[in-house]
Amino acid sequence: MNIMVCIKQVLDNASVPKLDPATGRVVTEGVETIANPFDLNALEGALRLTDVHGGEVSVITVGNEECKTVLKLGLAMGAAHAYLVKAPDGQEQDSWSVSYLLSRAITSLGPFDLVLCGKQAIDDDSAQVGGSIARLLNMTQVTYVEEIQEVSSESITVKRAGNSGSEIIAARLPALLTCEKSLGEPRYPTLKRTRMANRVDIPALDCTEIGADPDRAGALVKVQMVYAPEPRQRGELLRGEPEEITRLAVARLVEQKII
Amino acid sequence: MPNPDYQGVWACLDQADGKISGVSLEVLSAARRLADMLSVQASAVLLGHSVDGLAAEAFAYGADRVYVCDDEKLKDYRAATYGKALESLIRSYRPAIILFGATNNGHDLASRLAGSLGTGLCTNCVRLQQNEEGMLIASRPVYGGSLMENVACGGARPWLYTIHQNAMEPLEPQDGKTGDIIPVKMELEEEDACAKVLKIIPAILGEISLTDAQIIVSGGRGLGDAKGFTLIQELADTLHAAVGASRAAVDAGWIPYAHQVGQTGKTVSPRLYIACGISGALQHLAGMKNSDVIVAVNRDENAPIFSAANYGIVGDLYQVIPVMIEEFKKVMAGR
Repeated sequence: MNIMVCIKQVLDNASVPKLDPATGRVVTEGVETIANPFDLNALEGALRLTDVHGGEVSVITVGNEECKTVLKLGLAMGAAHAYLVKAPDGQEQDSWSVSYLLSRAITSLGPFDLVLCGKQAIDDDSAQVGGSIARLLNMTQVTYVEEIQEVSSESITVKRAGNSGSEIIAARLPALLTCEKSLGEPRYPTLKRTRMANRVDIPALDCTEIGADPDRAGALVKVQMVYAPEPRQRGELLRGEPEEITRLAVARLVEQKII
Repeated sequence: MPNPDYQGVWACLDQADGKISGVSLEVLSAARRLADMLSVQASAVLLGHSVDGLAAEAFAYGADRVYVCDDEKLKDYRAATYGKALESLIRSYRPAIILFGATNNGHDLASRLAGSLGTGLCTNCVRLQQNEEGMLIASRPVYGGSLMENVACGGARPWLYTIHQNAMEPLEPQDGKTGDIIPVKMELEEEDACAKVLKIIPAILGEISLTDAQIIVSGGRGLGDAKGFTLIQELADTLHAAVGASRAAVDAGWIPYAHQVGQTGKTVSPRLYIACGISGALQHLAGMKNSDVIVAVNRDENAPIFSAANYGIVGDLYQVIPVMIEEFKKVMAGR
């Protein structure tokens, strides 16, 4: 199996993202970054497939040189190849831009039996890139995959979190899947692989190399403002005899017609 | 700039088992309000099999027009067939704006459409309004709800939006209201689907899913062990609520991941969220703090969860929850 896994570098979610009051944007300078957790679940799912069925896993991301960090992690976990797609300079990007650039890059690097993405990135929470790539590449699309059950040369059987329960789906290959956390806890990179990954010269591809039109790669959705949500009013803290304060809390909910 | 070739607001409705989903009624209501704001028509799109009976409900919730695409191949939701049907409808009838529910299927379909149309998509919107310049601004939570952003689509139409559950109130249905039904015939081949739904495993009978729930009762590390969820379930059953969990409880193996609320689980915003034995780690707070009302039960009065709670009960949950169950049962019995 030849599998491509798309990874996004995001801000470390161990701390609350800070706003720069001057620009009205999230402060990224000097903030730790991590690989989007759901993308690593996807990578783990891909590696488990090639562990059993053979083949190679590649990882790809869109961004600047700094984003090579997540690609190195991918290599250290077991990916055979890594590719950085350089976003055109001086241009704002959104989910569309990333979908378009990735779809062009995947076409130029392929063919792949499977393309895997996380179900969403934990920064913009868009849940958009996977489905858009699938359509741009005319691949079978299955999102919110909870489990990979069976693979043959023509198809893959997966469990998907649908709207009214889990669905067992047989999907024709090539297919794009977006993955839930349950696809697998990401394995720890071995020391040997980490050393090897650090030595790899990761190619940085520009629009020409992937056959993308830079004019099409601009953002369709523009961010006007980022702001903190209205802080919640600190409520009532009830202390005392458990039975009494519980009755009081229930009475409040009934009074306010919440129940 | 409005493009005169593309007109009106569409609501793409989720349906299953002969019913329009709750979030779709919110989506349709949002489409109605938006259409009024822009002085255009609101239409509903029903894709599925044996769905024509649902048009009356769509009219009651504000649709001027209902496009019905009834086809056996649309019985199960599948990205390729639903996408093909909707793309073809868009080409024929050219809406300016399409709203979807922010559900798994809604995101699946909207993201696919965004890829084929090359037009803007804003997901998880909690508000849609025009600014002074007449620009349509969508507000959406980001970073798991830690921050909000206002975004605007530009360029080609139609613009696509998915609407967050419980963010926009459904309108009062007006029974007996009618409008135009436009049946649409599609040339769909089973081949087009590229995928077969072999089986649907419904949520456990009576189990309410987190994203649909009006009330959620969640348990965390403070439960002490997996058995604690029996008590959480009993409280949830009393309130017809869904059961949620903190990441700590999921990681401890007390409850499946599907119940996890938070940044790496599900982001929820029910009418009432009851957090039991949850300290309130950043990632959990981000995923639930947009709930209308939060009740927290915790022994530690310095637990961060209390900073988000409307009512904080400082006490042992094993003493508090049984009383809650008893009291709620009395309230429910009186109705």
